[in-house]
Amino acid sequence: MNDNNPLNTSLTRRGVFRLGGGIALSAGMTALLAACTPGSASGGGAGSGTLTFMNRWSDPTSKKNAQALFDAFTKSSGIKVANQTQPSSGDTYQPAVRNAFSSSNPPSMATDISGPEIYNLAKAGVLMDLTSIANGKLKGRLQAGATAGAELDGKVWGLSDGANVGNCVWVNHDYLAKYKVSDSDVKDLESWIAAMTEIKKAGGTPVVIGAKDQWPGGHYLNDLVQRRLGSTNATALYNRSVVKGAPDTVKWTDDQVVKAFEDYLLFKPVFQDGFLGEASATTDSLFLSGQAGFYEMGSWFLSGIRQNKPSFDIGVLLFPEVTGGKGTGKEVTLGNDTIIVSAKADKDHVEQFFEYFTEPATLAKWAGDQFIAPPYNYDTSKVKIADSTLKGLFADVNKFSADAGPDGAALFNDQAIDVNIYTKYIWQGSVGLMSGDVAPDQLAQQLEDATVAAQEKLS
Amino acid sequence: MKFARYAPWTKVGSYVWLILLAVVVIAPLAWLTMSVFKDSNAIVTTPFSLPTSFSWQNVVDAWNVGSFAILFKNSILITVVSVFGILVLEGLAAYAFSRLNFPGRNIWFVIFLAGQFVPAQIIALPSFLQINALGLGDTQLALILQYLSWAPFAVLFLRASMMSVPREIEEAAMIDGAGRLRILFQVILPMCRSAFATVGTIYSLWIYNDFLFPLIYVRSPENATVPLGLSQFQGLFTTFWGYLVGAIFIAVWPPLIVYGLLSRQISSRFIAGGVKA
Amino acid sequence: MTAFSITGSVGGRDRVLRRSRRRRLLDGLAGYGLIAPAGVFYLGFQVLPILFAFVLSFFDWNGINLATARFVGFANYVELFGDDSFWRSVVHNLLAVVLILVIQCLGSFMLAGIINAGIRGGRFFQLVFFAPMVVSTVAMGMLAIFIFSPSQGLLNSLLRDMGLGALAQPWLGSSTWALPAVVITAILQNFGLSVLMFISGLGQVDPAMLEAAEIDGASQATILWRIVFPVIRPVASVVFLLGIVSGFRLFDQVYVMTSGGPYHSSDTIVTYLYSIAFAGNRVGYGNAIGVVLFLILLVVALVQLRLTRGGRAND
Repeated sequence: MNDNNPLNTSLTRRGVFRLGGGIALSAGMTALLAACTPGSASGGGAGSGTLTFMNRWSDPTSKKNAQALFDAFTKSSGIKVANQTQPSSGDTYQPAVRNAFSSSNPPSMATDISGPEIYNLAKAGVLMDLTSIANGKLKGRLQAGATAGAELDGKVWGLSDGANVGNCVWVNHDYLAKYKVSDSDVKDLESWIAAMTEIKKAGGTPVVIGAKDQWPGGHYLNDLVQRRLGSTNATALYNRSVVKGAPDTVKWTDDQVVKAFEDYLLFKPVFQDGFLGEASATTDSLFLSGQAGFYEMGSWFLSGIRQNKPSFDIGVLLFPEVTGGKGTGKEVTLGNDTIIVSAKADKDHVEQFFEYFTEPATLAKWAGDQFIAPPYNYDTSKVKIADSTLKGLFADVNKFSADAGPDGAALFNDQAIDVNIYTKYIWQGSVGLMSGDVAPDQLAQQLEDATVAAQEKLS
Repeated sequence: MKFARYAPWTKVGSYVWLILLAVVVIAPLAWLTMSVFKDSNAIVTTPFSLPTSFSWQNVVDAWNVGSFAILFKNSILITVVSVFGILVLEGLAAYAFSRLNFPGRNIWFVIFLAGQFVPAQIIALPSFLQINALGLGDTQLALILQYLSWAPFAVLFLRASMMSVPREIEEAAMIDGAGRLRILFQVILPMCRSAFATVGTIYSLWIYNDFLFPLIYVRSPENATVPLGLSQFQGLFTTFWGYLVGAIFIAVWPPLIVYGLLSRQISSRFIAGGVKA
Repeated sequence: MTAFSITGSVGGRDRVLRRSRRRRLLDGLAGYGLIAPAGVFYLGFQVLPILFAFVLSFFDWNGINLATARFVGFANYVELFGDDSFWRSVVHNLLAVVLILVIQCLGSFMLAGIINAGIRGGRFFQLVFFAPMVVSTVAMGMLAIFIFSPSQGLLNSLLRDMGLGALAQPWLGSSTWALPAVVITAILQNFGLSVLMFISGLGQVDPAMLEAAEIDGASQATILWRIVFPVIRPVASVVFLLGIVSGFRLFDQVYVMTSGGPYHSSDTIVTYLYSIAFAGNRVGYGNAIGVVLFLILLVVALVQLRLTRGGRAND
């Protein structure tokens, strides 16, 4: 460019406008083209014979299993299913479901956790009432738990696609054998802690927890509160924050609950060093690579075991009984994955899907693929699991459910309680208890206050 | 002053400090590269051991399982269109804010700036409702429109850069009878080439790596972008480390290429009197 | 080449402007014409949702079905005023801002200066510092979790190898160290951005002038103050403003690495907002937090703009 006259080209103002306009136009056209490429917008129920199914079966194995289910359904009924997998972190998935159902083209169906999430969606009027389906074509197929956490005002708003047993303790028999500890030493909480203390004294790692992620600590609180109160009372307590008019006979400040929080502190000396800063993904691998004796995790851990087969003798127990507590060592915590339906979906298609899903053959395959227990009638002996270890473990877990009895199950606290309360007080609270930032009776009081406030808002 | 003329101790100190910082900064990426070749379980249990073999399995698996072909196509298309649009739109606006004197200019500048102060998280839901109301739910156009509205930083930076252009050059041109637009294109733009390249690079990164808006707007896998694709390897309760590091490895290449192409432009200098690369 | 003073020649400018009132009118039209295209997108897809979000802060809503939103007036703001968790988050953000200003803004300026001066391998260093930006913040957070892992992490392993095992901490699980760890990770990633901007800005300083000043015997400090600063002042003020804004808007790294833990000790304003509005279901209350954050940043930006206005030949 010439020093003396910087404008020595013949580009006129009009030329510039033309150039700029051309650029803007082409940018706009490209954008429009992008929008028109196939794959933009598949409406809920748009076009006859399609169901859109939003879910969080996004990891490679689950995605494959879900796709297989959908393909089999399409083959049998002719109805296509658009598999809309979403990122599955709880913090992003539940809000995504809320958004999707409040939009103008919601998916036909979606999976979601049971409890207040579903109650809120139902109250907002965006869900389809499934009572007639449940009492119609599906009558006789449902077992207890099929509509747990999805019933409101006597109506059914969702159907379970499977439940996990939440309060399991996984055991590395080989590791424990080194320290002369076996399953029989886990009679109750006291003896369990005693055995773990011995291991820790001998320089071992009795148990690991990924407390940084907060929900693992929440699990321990869940397990302990359930053992202390028993399933019925625990459920009554949790319901106070989400069910209008729930009686407040059981309070967070009750003796047994505070004792449950104190029980959790007993684990502090036996957890691994630095446990507050460890991620649960890391502790999953620590346990599976044989570096710890026990690991508290729900039955979904079976997928992790399938992914990274441990080379040691692995077993599973239920969270031990707590002496002095009102609950028994047989009671189970359930994490229920529920399928909900949009009010705008095609009822007939949806009914066909549920019919297909609850057929014994479908259920048997689904259970074996996902390591989940669908609460419907089917022949559990028909469940095919190739690996004998996994087969044995899955059978153990199912036995826990069966032995629990009709009143022996409660929903997970992070499904049953209002989300604002459990994230702030249970999840973060579990960390605070361990770090000493909050005392058990303080936490109990905070929970009680928050629950009372939530109940007031409901009324 | 030229580095060659620094005092010897200052020189040594500079090198030491730079190298130390560089090591700290590059550590995570070095770890990533190392882990790509390792088995999924080994990544977590022995994170800092060297890989035993140079297996590309993680990358291949991640590409196939994660359907990265579609993800790349979407992400690159959206990013290119959006960045191009931003440079044009905000370039014009920045020129007006830096060089023209029009009534209400300062107020409008603050308005343009204010968007930077609002966390994206709170506009996520209203924006989602708006997009739905427009019938653009679950489309890539929705994402492009959102990104084209990311004016604040570009306006801020481009304006700052344009303000550093000496007035005398502009006045000389005006005296010679050039119109405003001509001045913009033939005087200001070339001198601010580095700023445009900088803004282009930065926005490419931000848009390419954006997770929040694709999460909100997109539901069908056909419209998903790369960040959404990465998140699918964090299963409900397990993380598939092998796939994940393979996927991260795949995902970083387009931005690296963009940076490679534009870095010369970013450090180019254009002073009155000639081009200095 | 004409020698010109840094502050611009006022006399010549007056002459040009006084020349024509028609010019001013054209300038006005041109001005609006030029900001209109950007304005359409910005107002339509940023400002409109922002205003909507602000309106929502006066409602109580759980995010499903807008028709069920309940007007509550200033109730959300009153509650916010007494919310200890919120104010604790504000303090955390202030800490983050300080760390960012000192480490990132000043540090990157010094670095850009050295690179600009022509240190050998300057381009290489530029690439290295820029590299973390290429990885998404989420991915970087996940990598950082590994580095800080108490049992497996690089940091603790190094400390133990060096015999400093006593200094090993549960980093992300420690109420003292979680926040600094997260902020450092964020700085690490954005460092390259600031370096980039400063290099771009420094590139507009005329080296011929620097040479002339050195030949005249001016000291480094004088050169920095009289020649470099005025040219990079606009860019520098952008870098600092953005540093402050990013300190207040800190979210991604915290969310991925600690979720605000342990026990709220690394909670930032936006992670707290997220846990309430997004993960929780109190959209109105969360938006009220957003409004307050916006006001804080607006004040900061206006103050900053005012401080950096003097000395620019622009009005």
